[in-house]
Amino acid sequence: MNGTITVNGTEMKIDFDPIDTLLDVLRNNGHTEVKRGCSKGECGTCLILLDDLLVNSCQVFAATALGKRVTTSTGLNEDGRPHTIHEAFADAGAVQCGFCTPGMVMATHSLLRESPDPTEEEIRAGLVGNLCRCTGYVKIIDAVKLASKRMREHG
Amino acid sequence: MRNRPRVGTLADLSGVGIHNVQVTDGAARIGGAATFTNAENSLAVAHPDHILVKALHDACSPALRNRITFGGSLALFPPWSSVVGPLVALDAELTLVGATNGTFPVSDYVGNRELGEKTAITEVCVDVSREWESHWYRFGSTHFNYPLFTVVVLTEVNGRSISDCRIVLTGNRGRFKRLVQIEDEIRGTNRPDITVTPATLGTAFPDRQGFGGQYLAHLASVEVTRGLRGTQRSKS
Repeated sequence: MNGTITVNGTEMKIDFDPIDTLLDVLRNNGHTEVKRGCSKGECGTCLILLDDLLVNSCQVFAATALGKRVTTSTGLNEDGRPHTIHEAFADAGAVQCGFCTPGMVMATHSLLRESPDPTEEEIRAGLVGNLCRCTGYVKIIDAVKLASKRMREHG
Repeated sequence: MRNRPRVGTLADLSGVGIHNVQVTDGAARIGGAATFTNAENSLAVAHPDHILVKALHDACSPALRNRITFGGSLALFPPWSSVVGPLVALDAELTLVGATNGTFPVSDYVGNRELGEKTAITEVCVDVSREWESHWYRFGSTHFNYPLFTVVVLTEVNGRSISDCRIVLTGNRGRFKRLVQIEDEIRGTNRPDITVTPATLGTAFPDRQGFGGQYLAHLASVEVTRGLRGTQRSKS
């Protein structure tokens, strides 16, 4: 099968097997910022936006993404600079090995879009599908709070 | 991925028009391909405290709720399904097309695997006209883990007495059970101090990793008791 998807604003022609997931296609075409963790929708490392909707790319057949817009963590960059959420994760010390970070960033982006000033309970609920095996989540929750504060202050 | 199956044909149902949710005239009509997020958002506009809104919002993760469909969750009735308990309690009906055509109670569908063979669910219809006091509970070792059981308690209170009551468990042996005996006992009475025991549940639970069946039955009975007392208390 073949077709096109738009990844981070750039149209991408893809060839794939019917069984291929969007995760397979993205990684096979250089978007390795989308991580392969469990491939079962349980770890959240492969989170992306599909037409602005947060999804586990391992749970989306590539065929159903044809003609749609995909945004990865890299695509959140603003004019070549890291997004406020990226910076907040770095500044809060929420990155250790970094494997879960792109997924955490995407889940945070989706959460803050719906709830710009979330409570800690809402943050935990928003990140419930993202696993981190290094940080113990405390710094990650701090990072989301920091990103929320900065985005509300600076737009 | 290793050991992937070969696929000759892939059918995409996203364009066949069964993904809409309509809430009108006291009924919610939820398309078989509607996602949990779609259903929750549509229902929450008019019925923010509805038991189905609570259950859908509580299911798995935001990203998975954007993909899991109502029809898929009913057809497979996986351990993480949060819709079966509320739908059985609400006497919801579903529409099938394929080898079997027609409208059937959700309880018949999930209780009879043959009914669903070679069929697709096009719509689920839920009565949202009644004002139930509701209690929803899912038990898992962590929030994101598959629930080991779920409890739904609905009570309709008229004055100081309970005019109607629905209690449904999932995760027990037999996959789900409506606790009709306890419902009958409670209907028409005012019994805020009722205590449900594992014996009165009338069902057993399978042993699960880290949790014995007897312990799960005990937890479920406590939660049904809490549900009954809580739903009564809020109206008394």
